[in-house]
Amino acid sequence: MASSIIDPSIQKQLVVPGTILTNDTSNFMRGHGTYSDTTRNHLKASIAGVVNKVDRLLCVEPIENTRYLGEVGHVVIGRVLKVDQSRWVVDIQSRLDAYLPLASVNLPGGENRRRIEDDERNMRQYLKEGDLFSAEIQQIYQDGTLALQTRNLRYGKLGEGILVHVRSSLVKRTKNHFHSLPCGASVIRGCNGSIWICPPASTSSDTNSVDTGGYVKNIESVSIDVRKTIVRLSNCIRILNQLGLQIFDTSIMDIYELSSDYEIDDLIQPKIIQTISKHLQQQKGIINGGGEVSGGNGVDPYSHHMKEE
Amino acid sequence: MTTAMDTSSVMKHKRNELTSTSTTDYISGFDLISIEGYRQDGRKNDELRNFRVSFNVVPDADGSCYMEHGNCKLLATIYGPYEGESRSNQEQAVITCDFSMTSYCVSERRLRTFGDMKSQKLQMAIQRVFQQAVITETYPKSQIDIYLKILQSDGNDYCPCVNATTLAFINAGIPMKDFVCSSTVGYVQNKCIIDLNQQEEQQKSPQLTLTIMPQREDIVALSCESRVHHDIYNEMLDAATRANLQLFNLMKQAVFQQLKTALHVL
Repeated sequence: MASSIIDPSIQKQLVVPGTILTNDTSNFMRGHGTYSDTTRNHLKASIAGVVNKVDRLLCVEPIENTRYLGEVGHVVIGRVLKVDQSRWVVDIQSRLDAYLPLASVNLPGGENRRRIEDDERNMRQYLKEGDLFSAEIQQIYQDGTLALQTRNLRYGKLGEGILVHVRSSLVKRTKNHFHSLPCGASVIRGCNGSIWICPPASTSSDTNSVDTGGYVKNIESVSIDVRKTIVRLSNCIRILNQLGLQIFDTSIMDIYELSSDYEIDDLIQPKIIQTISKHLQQQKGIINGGGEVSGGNGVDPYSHHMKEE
Repeated sequence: MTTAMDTSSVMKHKRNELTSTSTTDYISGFDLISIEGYRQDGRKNDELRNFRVSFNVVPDADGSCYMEHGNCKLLATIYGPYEGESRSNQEQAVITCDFSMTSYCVSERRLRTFGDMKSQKLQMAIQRVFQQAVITETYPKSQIDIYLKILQSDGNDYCPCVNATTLAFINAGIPMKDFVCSSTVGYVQNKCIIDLNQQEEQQKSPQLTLTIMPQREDIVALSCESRVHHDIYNEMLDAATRANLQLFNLMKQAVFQQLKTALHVL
């Protein structure tokens, strides 16, 4: 009736839920974003997006707005929801909660400490409800639940700073997710779309030492200049998110430099975002960090978007 | 969901005996369809009301859509899937629906904007429809919340709610078997008119509400709360299906438009 069969040989084809991808179910495999309609023996799209065919595997890749899908090794930033028996339940913007077992954290006193009942009782001393921390995904279980680990002194509780949420698709996995930016602030890019901006770490060397295991944070006051830098950076990241640009340390700095003409609180006004994006295009067309300002073909990618906003 | 197929004495006279000038068709002193064949708001019999959608209107939600269908204006928002409470199902996602109206959405100011009988029924109906349409098995132990807010009402609230929720689900990237389209059909002056507005709906003419999955050719829900002859009933069913297909094309276009915009920006 209203459905049409798409030609699987054509790449980059847009589909909507219910579009028939193929009626040759024996020759194709069902990937993400597809389902098989058993009554009619069809393979159909279940989400709106771009068809991707890898050999015999048919997938539909969503373009925007999907929940974070964890991968082993991703650096994430999570918030403790509750303290469970020998594990913390953590919200990482995924479709299910993640767990941080007591066995996969560094406890004060060194690497090879035995975890005893006392530690289990004192879990709240390290992380309590509402605390933010950075971690790495250690394992993904069958049902999609994630297990985290913080067995590295880079990871641990977060102290003073700002958390900005962006689309998780904009944070790509790279070698390093901990950046200390030249403008005088540190940034942790969580793959789950949580970006943490904090004062540079150099002043407080004691925080990430073996003695405390990274669970004690100093709360000394931050100077007003550093605070302004941090707030400006947070607005720069929001701009990148609105423009749909990949978030790298380089792309953040690009926007940061362009933003110097404006007051911090003016930055996220739609008009100014538009001007900044135009400047950015004129300047490079492509951002150095690999975040490509796509579109091309004579179409101004921003003019479209702004109308939608 | 009642399907009144009429065999009773009321409709014993044959249909072809009715003429377009039959006095029974005049309900409140005016014609719903003019002699020239136009309805009160200037539409043809098989013409939909204006349809306009914009996506991503609620930035914090997983999916959202603002829809204008004729004079009906509403906001559909999806949160989830997230880990639900302990009562949630281990095998598949649980869908909940919250329907509310603004106090200014109808001509007379509403004192109660949520939780009345009507909205509870509507909530249940939408929940049931989308429990079928969404592939809930992909999200075990999860919960998905639908929030619907009518900003301006134009007769039937159920149909625009279903359509807007479909689009919000697509915007959220939650896997669905198909679109879900819903529309109403009325029978006045021996003609089927599709996509009734408030004025047309208030007439005491037979009405039928059909919810389908257009590409699968499945009927999800069907309700007809008046007595009609089965010939008319079939005619109305056909008209409703055609209306839903028209609507489906509009919805599909809107989704494609959004995809293209997003592709350019990303």
